[in-house]
Amino acid sequence: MVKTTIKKNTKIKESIPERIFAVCNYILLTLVAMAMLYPVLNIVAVSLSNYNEYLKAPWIILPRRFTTAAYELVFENAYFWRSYLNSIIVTVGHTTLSLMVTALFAWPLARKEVKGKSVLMAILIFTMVFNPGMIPNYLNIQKLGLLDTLWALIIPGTFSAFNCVIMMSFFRELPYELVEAAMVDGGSEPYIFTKLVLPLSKPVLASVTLFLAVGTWNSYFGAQIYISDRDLWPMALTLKEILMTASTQLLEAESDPMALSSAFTEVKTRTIQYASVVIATLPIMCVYPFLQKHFSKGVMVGSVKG
Amino acid sequence: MNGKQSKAIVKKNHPLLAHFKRFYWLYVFLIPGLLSIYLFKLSPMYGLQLAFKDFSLAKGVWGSEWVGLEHFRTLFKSVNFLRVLKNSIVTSVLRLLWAFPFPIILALLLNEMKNEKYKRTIQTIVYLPHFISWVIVITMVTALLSKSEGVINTLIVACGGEKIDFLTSTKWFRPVLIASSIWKEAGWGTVIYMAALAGVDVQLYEAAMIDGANRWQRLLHITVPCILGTVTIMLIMKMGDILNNGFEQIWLLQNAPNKEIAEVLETYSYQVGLREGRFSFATAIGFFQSLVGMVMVFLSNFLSKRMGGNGLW
Amino acid sequence: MKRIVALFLATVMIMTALSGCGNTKPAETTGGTQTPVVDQSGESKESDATQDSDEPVKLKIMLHNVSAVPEGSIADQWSTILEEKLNLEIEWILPPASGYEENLQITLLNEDKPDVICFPTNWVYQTSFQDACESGMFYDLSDMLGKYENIMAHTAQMSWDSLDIFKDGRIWGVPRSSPARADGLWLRQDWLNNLGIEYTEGEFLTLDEFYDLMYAFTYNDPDQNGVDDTSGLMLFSEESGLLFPTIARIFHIGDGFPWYEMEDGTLVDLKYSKEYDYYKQYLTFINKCWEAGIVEPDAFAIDYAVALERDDQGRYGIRHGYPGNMPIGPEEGSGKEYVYCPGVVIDGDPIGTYTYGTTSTGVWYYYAISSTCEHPEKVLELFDYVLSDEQWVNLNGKSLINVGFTKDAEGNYDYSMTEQIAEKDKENGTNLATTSLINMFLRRSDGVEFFIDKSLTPEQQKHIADLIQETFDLHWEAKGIGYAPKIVTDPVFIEYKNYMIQEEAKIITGDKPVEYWDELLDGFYKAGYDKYKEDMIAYIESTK
Repeated sequence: MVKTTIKKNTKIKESIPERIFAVCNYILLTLVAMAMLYPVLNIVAVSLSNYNEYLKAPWIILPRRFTTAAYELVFENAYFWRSYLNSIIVTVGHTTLSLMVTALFAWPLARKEVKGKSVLMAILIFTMVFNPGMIPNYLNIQKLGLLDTLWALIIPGTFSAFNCVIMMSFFRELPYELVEAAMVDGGSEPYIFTKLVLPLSKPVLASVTLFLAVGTWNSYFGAQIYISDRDLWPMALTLKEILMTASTQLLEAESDPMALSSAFTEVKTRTIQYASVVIATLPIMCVYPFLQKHFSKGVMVGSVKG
Repeated sequence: MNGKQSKAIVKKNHPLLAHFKRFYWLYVFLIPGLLSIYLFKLSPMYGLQLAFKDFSLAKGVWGSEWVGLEHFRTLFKSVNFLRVLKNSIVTSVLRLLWAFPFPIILALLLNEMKNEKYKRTIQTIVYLPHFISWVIVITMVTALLSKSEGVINTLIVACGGEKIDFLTSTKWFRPVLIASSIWKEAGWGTVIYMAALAGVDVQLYEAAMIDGANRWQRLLHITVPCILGTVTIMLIMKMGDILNNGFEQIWLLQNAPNKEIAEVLETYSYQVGLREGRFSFATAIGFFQSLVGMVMVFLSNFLSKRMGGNGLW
Repeated sequence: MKRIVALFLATVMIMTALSGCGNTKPAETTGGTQTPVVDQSGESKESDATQDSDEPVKLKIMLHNVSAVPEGSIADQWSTILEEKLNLEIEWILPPASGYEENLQITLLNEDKPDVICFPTNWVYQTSFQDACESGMFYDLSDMLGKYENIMAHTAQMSWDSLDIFKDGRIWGVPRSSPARADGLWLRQDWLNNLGIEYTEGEFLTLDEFYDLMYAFTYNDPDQNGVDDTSGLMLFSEESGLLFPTIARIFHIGDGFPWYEMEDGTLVDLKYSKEYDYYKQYLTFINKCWEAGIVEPDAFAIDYAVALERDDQGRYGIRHGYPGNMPIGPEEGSGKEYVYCPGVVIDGDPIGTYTYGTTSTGVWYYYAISSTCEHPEKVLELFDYVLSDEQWVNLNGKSLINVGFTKDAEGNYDYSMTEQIAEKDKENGTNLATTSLINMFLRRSDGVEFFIDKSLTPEQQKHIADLIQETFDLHWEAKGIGYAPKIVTDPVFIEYKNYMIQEEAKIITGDKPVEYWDELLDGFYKAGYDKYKEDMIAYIESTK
């Protein structure tokens, strides 16, 4: 309600330079968006084109000699579906778990009552900056018995220092009077956290969810090291195989004729690569529009001051 | 002596006990996080000792022999190290100057858009490139800037210019690197600032408008101060990464003619360390990067607080 | 909201638990029965083997470059035949090909190692592999191999030499061995026709002819489309940053810079030699080509995959190539047709012919047997059987006889069965025509036959066989293969070598004069190459 009245007001009050700015702003952002949209269109167009047509005009943004052959080939790969399922399990599991663990950790850090925050912060920064390295991490996962299970991709790294700091800084900006008021009313800490803090923090929760979900969906390194069973591979690793084997396999096979000819058949032509990219990224791209509404202005107004 | 102290503690503890009684939930909240930190971050940290050891597979991490600062000595003695370190810093600073402000500006401009639908569309589009992996992005960059088939060079020639060696010259490496970074990550970077902007109280704007503040004044006095906290935090965290430039993008753009400028610590440690299976040396390089990062975080946090801003702690 | 989240989480947990359990179970059981024994001889376990000889022996074999062995596929049926014949139960472990080497490093640390691990050839030089051998993680096979006739008969001696890593007679793996070759060039026959240039297959080109040909293929519009969109020679970068040695090979600089024995008995590495100026000749020539714009101008910035894509676009007139997989006849649609040229000869060159060597001679991947493997003799039995005459028909045909192909009395192959399976695959979305396991597992290293595509007509096969035979003949045998002086792990040495790659590029692109190479060489000798050279020569002399 408040918002619409403001809008009307501004429209009347807007001066000429302000209007020029607004127009320029629209033009500029449209240009930026076009520059960023182009490669995406190109990928989609190529994936739907005949390979020979692509070779003639690699820069197309509309498919030429439309064909879905590349997609059919990708779907023939039995691992692809399995990878989809694994990725969904891992992404949902890791994101939910990590969001809860991190938010729970960030809230006390944002509270001035909590003691020993400097020690916690020191540990936090230390784990953020220092990395024990691939081998100790691997041995650790092995020791915990998580090798070759999807757990190895879900549980490690549930606590993220980066996301914690972001949440913490957001929690600090929340109006503290509200918390105090709730405490006076006798609200318990879990109540304050779940019923007051979390609903007020939707924008930051949305962005952290986005970071987590997209990050998990796109990461392949853990799977590459911890999981040797192809049935448990997430999409990101399957995709990386499709994109990368072309050059690594060819180079390695260079001196070996038989490997080379088998590599030739394995090498994915650009259309298949791009089709795989589209299929692999489409689901995670759909996450954004669902979260986007939480980024819009005025989420705080109603609940805080109302 | 012990007795005395414990007595003193018991007396002093009273308010502390009361504190715990009142706020114990806040400490309970910390438990899952602490557990995760302990299990997956701290307990493998013993691996850092590899930087001071001569790692042998057979003997394992603990059994390998100590070599003290040997790896660091080799590192600092090397002909290439100073050049590589300089490249890392220069690249990182350039990123900070160009790539860091970009998402902020983009977010502010988006925020100025009144048409909600259009804004959302643009927002959705600019975040798309983030999903395209570097392998694909660099393939496209190569095709675009190629000397033999690149659109850009074809255009330059059509305008009567001479072909530019974008891909394999030391002069053009950094502009190409930064531009491709901005192109891929700027839109994604706006997410966090959009969240911060969403948190700005609309009533502030309302009040300012009633006071007759124009667009520019509102931006300067309300919007910017409101996201400054987020910007500071992001900046401090970026400082921790001052020697990290990421591996994939640079590795893919790097080639023999531009390596002089392109080689950074990550690619260097991969080439000299990991390729040969020399984990200790690679760990030493990583350790050095982290150490610098740690110092930078503390320093920038200190400076930020000193200048009246808010720090991480 | 909270309840939904909780419910969701619970579902996820259950799902993951289910999928997780399903997969850990077999691993656990095998882990349980396996007692890690670090015993070099393997004798102590032979009693075990006889004890439960009825039970199939379980083997885990880790392979590279095989992406799948789908159940019921041709490859899987082949694997089943092996299992039944030898009373085995084989589990093929297929890690991501794009990160195989990282995976190997990790695998070396794993307590529950696969019984057999496939290593890329260059791993014989890797410190971590050498380390692993010395600490007893793998069997020394030297004493066991003798009784496996097929393995011994069909593996080249030089392959065994490269697996004698410490040069003390111990053998650390079974090589996938094959003869070494000196590949030539593929020329675009259709472009030659368009430009009216005469060339007969099998003729050597002179350096000038080669240059002129590249020039014509670049500037005379060989594809007759009126657009300047062609390039004389396909060229690209290897992962090290060096250009692919298509041109370097003309100057006898072999792949990986091998050591040769010259006519007068001296031992040299032609790239880093101060006595011979072949490398400077190479740099001069490639610089001339570079400045004339007749080789791929993006060569430093693209890899093989991109170069191949550009080749698909019809950009290159000449490319390096092995005759065995050269397409025969004009390609449908594009009209692309190739003719094979065995090489380029330099005028007045004392060596006199096109020839070069390679350091990776004889081994394309090798298999090491973990010391945790309880039945190393079973592994060797498997290898031996795969290389036997009985299995040779399958290896040679790269598929499974009477399942993937048939062969008549005259030795004609018919692959229509595979085609039918592939058709069905398309309909059902399966992948049963896969044979890559048979291709990639092991091979015999004697002669041309293995490398011929059996689906060609007999005349074509004969023709290709002759061309391949020539590549074998042109190969210049390298010395000291598999030996690496200690200095190669010295950071100063590694770094200078890398530095030279970057500086060499400047000579090629013309930023620095060719004389700069002398300066670089001096620096390299100072950085440790003098020691390397001394060591290497001493080693080669000792093996004579």
